[in-house]
Amino acid sequence: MKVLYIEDDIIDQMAVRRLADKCSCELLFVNSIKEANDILQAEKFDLIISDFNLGDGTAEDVLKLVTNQKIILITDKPLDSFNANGNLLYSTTKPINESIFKITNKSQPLDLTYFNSLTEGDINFQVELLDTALQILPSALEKVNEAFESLNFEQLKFEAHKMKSGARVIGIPILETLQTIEALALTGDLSRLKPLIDELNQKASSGIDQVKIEREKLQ
Amino acid sequence: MSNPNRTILIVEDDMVDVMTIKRAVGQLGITNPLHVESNGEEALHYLNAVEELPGLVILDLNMPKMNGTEFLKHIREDDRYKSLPVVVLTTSKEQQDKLNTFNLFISGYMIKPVDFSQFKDMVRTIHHYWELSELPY
Repeated sequence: MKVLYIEDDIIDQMAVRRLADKCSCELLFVNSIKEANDILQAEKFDLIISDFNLGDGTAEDVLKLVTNQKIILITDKPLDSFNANGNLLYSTTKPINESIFKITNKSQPLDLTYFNSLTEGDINFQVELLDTALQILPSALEKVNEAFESLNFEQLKFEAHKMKSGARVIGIPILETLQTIEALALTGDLSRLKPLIDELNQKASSGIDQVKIEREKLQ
Repeated sequence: MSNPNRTILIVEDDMVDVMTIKRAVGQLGITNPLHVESNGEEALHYLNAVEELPGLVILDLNMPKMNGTEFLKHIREDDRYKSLPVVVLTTSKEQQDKLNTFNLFISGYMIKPVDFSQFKDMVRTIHHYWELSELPY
């Protein structure tokens, strides 16, 4: 994975480089908006990570440089306060954790609308909810896979249905996939179910990683 | 409910959904005690063990061990529980589920909304209805 990291603080760059080495990411640092602009004219990246305050501007300026790009902003500001310019935005705060490198090209951001309306800014409840989701979702995904691998289609329908609720509350974008699996499960049509299971695994794993990032923000 | 101290029995295996219901109940200031069981089998054990029946059962349908429909069949065949008011709260929009459960004398079939304020409205409405209604026991 090729990552552009916009960060003007040398110490922070060193810390991030260490994390990126562990994740086998190809990481390129730039120190300013101007340098970011130059490199983005010439190269494409799987992911852009940008500190908020930079010497010659802010992350708001980074957002103007690209469209339809996955960008992680190092900020505690709410994401809906930014003009996303068509980009898919994620956020985290310092010190950053290696899990941010798990946001890949195929990732989709969590839709936290329901989560935010449910928790209404209650940090303790947010922590409790995210911890619960992290407890149940990996096991729910495992159960879907077990049912599929054992060709137990009745069970597959059941497990796909059960997984929807947790995913819905946390905003992992897999509801449509789960609904289709649920609807098709009893047909036992492997040619249609297999791609859906693959899609579910990819999106759910990525979503669970993002839930971990959200949880880390609340440490 | 007619007796505001009556327990509300929630039969739901999804922990996130239980947290959501509890959150809504708390925010609405509903003071009835809540008791949670995670499937129909455990709910039956609970009913067998308590002296006073719950004022209302909020029942999910898709649960392991004994699902909501099976639970309803059991209680409707048992003289002790056959008049127990049950409201189904589920994500299932399947017509067959609605038909099966209404045939088992449920008091309402609610589909879990995708918006928390709508969810709260739904819980508020269920509560107000059962607050006004006389209980059969």
